[in-house]
Amino acid sequence: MDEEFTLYLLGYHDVENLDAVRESLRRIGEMTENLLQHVSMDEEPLVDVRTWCRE
Amino acid sequence: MNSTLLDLLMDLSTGAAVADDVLERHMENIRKLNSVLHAFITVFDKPLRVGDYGKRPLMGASVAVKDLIYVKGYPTTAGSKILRNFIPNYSGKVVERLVAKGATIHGKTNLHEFAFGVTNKNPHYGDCMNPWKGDRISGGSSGGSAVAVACGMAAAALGTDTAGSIRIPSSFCGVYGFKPTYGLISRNGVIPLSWSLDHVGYLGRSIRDLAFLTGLTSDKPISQDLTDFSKSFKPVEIKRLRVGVPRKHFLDHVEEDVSKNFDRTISTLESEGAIVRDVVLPNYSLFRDCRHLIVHAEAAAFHMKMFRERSGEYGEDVRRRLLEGMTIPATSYITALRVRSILLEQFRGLFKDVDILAMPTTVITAPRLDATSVEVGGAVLDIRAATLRNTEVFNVVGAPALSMPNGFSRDGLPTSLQLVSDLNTDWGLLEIAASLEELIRPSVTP
Repeated sequence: MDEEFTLYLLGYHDVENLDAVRESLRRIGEMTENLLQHVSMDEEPLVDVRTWCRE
Repeated sequence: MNSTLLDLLMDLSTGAAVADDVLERHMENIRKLNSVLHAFITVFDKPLRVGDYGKRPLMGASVAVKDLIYVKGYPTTAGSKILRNFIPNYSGKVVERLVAKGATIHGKTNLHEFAFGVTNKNPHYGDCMNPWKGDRISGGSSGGSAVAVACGMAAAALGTDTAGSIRIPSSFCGVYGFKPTYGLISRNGVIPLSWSLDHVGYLGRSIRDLAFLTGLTSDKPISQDLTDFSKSFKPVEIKRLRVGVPRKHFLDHVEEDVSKNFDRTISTLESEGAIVRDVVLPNYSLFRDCRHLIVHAEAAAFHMKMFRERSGEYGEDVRRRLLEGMTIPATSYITALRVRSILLEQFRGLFKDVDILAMPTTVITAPRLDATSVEVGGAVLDIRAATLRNTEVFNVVGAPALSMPNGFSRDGLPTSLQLVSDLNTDWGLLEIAASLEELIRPSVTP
């Protein structure tokens, strides 16, 4: 990832450690990949967070 | 000074104690210990309470409030330098309810900055230290609340829990902590870490204290009748209680003394007639990844504006976590929300065969202040991962979970048991825990 894109992504101009950002992105990519293995076409996001566990 | 809230209320009702004297003893302990333990960020010159508190259920008992929760007219720093001068113009709903029930609010407790961490090492207000051993952390992020309860600086305390932030410091400091079902106690007036994972709950000196406070301040009634607590809250028979132990993942890497005390607790349950069986929570790693993506993305969204303007004023660890959150694509966040619906179904499926789950709250005892990793059962674990290992899962599904002391390690640090039940079974879980409390409660206090 180049610096310009990182800054665009963050809307923020003080990224002191681009290596940390790259490492974060690697981790996020792995986690997303792990999650994607388990979703089918049926799952909808659990978005309604204020009521999702009310019965 | 180490009596439970309910014992204290009994003394107040019979005239054996006077609320102002009790408050003064709590304040005296704060004056004596706070410069070393850093449990409180703000101690009120003039405690907040209603005029006729003596006639209300909490009768003036002092409840400390995590400094993430608004108390009208008093600073709410969230453990951050950025909010040092922030004074909200309203109180969180839970604080309002506590005061209306007769509580005295006398101060705001220390936390990991913005509740985004589990150590309570705080570069702005001092590291919150463990009362059992001077070189150990309290755990967090509700660490100040745990220390306040452990050291008789308050009768009970409010905390919040996004991945274990009530249960972890409760475990490390040897007190009781309860994270109710998501939304049972209002999050109104609570600075969010993660809207969909944040839970408000209590830390106290007994399970009955936690039940009493939760019953008094919940958003919807959790018991039929709270007018007579001793009748509505009944310890249950352990005999034939079905207890599930998720050994895989939750007991893979456990400190020796934590493991020993947990086994002893399970033996006690069995000797009382409980039916203990192994269960497996499928997809453990998905729970972890889900929690990580959701909390980081939601926290980054909340902080985005403030972070752009004042990133240099955040502590280094929190700054790093927020930066990570800002790089999470919306698609990853939404994928985590989709997977959560699968995980919720799998979690609830466990309760067809068992009534509760049991495991150690934390697989380690309180780590040293300077530790970054810990060796457990031959594996080297990062402190953060080791600390969150058994708690974070239950925030993803919003389930009620509590931590109760069950012994000590050989070097004198508390260990704890975590009990978890299905959504909206909070009262039943507390009743079970109260029965067990009688059997496993350690008698030592800091």
